[in-house]
Amino acid sequence: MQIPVPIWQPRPRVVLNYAIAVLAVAAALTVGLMFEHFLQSSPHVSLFLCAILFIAWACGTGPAVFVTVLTIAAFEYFILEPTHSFAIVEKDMPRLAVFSLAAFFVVLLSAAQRRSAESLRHARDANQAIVEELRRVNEMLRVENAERRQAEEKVGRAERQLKEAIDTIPTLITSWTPDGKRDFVNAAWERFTGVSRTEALGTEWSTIVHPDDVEIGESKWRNALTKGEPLQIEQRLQRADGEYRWHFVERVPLRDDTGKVTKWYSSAYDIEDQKQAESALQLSRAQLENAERELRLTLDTMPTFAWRTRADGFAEYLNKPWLDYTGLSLEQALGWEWQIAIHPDDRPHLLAAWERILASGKAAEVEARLRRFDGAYRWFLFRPAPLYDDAGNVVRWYGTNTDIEDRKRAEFALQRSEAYLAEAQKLSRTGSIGYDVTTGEFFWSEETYEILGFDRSVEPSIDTAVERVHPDDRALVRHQVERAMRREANFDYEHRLLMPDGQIKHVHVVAHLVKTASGSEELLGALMDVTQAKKAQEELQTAQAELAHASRVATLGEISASIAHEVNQPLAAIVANAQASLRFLNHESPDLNDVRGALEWIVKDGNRAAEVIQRVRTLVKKTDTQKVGLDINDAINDVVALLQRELSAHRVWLKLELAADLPKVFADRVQLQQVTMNLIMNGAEAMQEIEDRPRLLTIRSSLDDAQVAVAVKDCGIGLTAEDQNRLFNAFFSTKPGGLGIGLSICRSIIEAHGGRLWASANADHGATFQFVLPLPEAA
Amino acid sequence: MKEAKKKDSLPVVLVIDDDESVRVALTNLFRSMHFDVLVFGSAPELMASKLPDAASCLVLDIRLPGVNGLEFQEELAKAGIHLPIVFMTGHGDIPMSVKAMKAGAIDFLTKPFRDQDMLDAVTRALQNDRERRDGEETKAKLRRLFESLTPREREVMTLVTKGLMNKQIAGELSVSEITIKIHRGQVMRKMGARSLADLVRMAEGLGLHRAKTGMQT
Repeated sequence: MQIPVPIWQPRPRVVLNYAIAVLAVAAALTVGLMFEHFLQSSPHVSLFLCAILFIAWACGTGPAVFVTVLTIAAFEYFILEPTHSFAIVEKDMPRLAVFSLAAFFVVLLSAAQRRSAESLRHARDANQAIVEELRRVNEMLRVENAERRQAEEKVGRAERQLKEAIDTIPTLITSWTPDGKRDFVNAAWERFTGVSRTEALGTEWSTIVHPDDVEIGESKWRNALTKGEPLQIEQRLQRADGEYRWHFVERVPLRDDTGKVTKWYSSAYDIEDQKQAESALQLSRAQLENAERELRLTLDTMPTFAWRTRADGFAEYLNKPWLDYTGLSLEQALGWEWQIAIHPDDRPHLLAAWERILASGKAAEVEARLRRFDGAYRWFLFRPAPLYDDAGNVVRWYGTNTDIEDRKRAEFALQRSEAYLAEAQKLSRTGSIGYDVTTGEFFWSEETYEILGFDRSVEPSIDTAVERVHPDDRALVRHQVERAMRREANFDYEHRLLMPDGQIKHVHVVAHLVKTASGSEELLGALMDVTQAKKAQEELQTAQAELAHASRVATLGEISASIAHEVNQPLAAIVANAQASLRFLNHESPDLNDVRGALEWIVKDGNRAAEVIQRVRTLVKKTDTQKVGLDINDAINDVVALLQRELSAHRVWLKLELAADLPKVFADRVQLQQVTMNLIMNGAEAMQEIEDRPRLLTIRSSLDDAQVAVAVKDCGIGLTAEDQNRLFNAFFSTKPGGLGIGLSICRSIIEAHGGRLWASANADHGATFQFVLPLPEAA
Repeated sequence: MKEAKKKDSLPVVLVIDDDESVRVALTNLFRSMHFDVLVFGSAPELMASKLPDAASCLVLDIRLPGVNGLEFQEELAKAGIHLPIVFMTGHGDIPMSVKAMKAGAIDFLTKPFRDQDMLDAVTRALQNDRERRDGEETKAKLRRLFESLTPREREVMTLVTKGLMNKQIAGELSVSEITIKIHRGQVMRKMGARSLADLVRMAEGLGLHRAKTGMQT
């Protein structure tokens, strides 16, 4: 039914109400005045009453009263005489009073009207509400009805479905009477047990249970039945084929409103596989426990320290050896506390490395010192390795610490010795070279690179090295390389290097072939920069040559008288012969043969004098060593010729025992003559004081054992043992006023020729000075 | 070594030098001076050979192998060889030369020498030798005469020439003066002395009163 439109009543706000009230009054007044003015009527009262009515209707009682007061005041003020004042004439007072009364009546009326309207409204609303309610309920009932019907249908459907489900699901469903008898079993139950529904009715629970499970099942079931509490149990139930299979059985009671159990429902599902898995699991767990125990035992027995941390590095486990070594307890070392066992100097480095490893998630190694229980520190190798989960994240870190103290010590020793070696190489300018014959690998030490002037990045090889060899020496070096290829064993040679900047270096290479422990053959050698030594040697040789020269000159000075004599002899003969020739020619009948003879002798003597001069000049000349093939006897004879006069002046009787056909030696003529001269002079001087025997000086040359030997033997004052030792020292002399450099120079000269010079006392009198010179090597 | 008497042979120059050139040259030189030359390589060589019986002199180098010229000089004197010596030297041995001259060398020449100097020296030397030889002869004769005296006569002669009077001599010899006089007369006669002065001279010549040590005149 249609609901009528309710009576509309405006409900403006309060302030607005009063404002409207004022306005209304003002409007009424204005209209009244206008009427008065234009129409000469004065319906003020009516207007005011209208205003009051309007306000009472529109705005309510309060504003109406307000308006009333206002209208009265306005009426009084504006309309009643005197206008525009509140004075009241007596005659108008009834008018005012009536007006006021009217106004108030209007207000009252309107108020009453309002009230009744209000209550009408209320009643209507209430009515409406009830109708509404009734309608709603009706609707609800209808819906409910429909729903109920639906639900009934559903229930019916569900029941059917449930029934189907119950019969379909593999779970064995049974329902029981409160005293524990079966009153329903589902199809699955039937299928499993092989017992039909009808047969199962009224049976006890234990009928299909494994005998061994009956006892415990019984007590539990009793308990449940009594208390009405649900029951959960695992039991072996017998299958149709006689097999017992584990089932998980759950029985729940169904209570009615009073709380009494009206039915028991139970479900059982096959957990045989699970059970088997469980026992397998238990077995494996037992095995695992075993294994764990063994592992623990191993971890605790083996000497290596082992530990485990979380993925963030927090230590969870440290094995017994670790704890025993550090002397810490597990509590003391767990977490982050293990760090206290690290050497303070190594801690920052270890921790930084640990952080890096943790971040990288990869196994790594770090070395650090670990403190022993007695305070000593030993080097250990820390080796953490991560354990990943399936997603590839690190879940644990497992690590070992291995004692590497000895290795570390050896490392340090090796480093130190390597440093020493490198330093020694640098100081001595010796570089190492190695060549593995089997692999062809080359090795150059730091100093070798330095000497050869190659950057460290250059790959060592023969050809690279040969680049640096002086062009003139390359043939020699190549020859040595060929020797190396032929696996020859020993090398010792010198050659020059030509550096890129033009500098020349002298190097001395020594090497030998060794068999290493691994069985391969290696050529190990050293490359020595002997430039300085060479230079020094050259300078020394120069100095020696100068000294030798000076010595020669000095010796010649000593024998200058003899030399002068040597020249004088032929000169005297020349003069005498010439004079004789003149005299012969003055004879009455000159014998020209005599003259000729004399002249021939002049020629001979002139040549002889020239020879002497030549010999002297040769000795005086300052020449570099010029080695030539030399017959030692020639040299001796030359010297003897020079010294003959001197010797005879000293009454020295010279005996020459020069072997014939001596092979030539490779030597410097001047230098050998110097030596011989020196030895002869020394021998003669040694015999100066001798009066009781002939002053015999013997010079012997011979071939001794593939060497040419020369011996100068005197019978003078001889040598003391002391003298023998110092004889060849520079500045040692037994001669008064002697410089003492003669013999030392002689020795230098002989040794520079590859020979040996020595002195020995004779058995009877005097001394013998001998030197030997090697024969030239067969080319 | 024997002395043969040949008064009229050419004078001989004996040369000792170890240097062949010098020997040859000197040979030529002396031969060109019309001297005879004998050359020796060493002092022993000379000593081993027969000296010529003629006036001769010796020319030798003062430094010979093995022997000092001056020493050789002494040696010769000891051996009774009174050859005059001319020394040569190839060295400038001034001190040596002084010694040599003091030892009675005729001259000391340094090589190379002027031929005239050598000639003069050798001539002088030979002259000396000739004189010596003559002197020697005379002495020889005296000696023969002396030897013909009896021992007693010799004694007497010695004492007489000493200046002793007959009486003193008789006393010395424990014989009578008369005996002494007789001996004296014999001595005078045998010796051919015409006066005491002669005898004294002869005695001196015989060296009867010579001191044990002394230089050979």
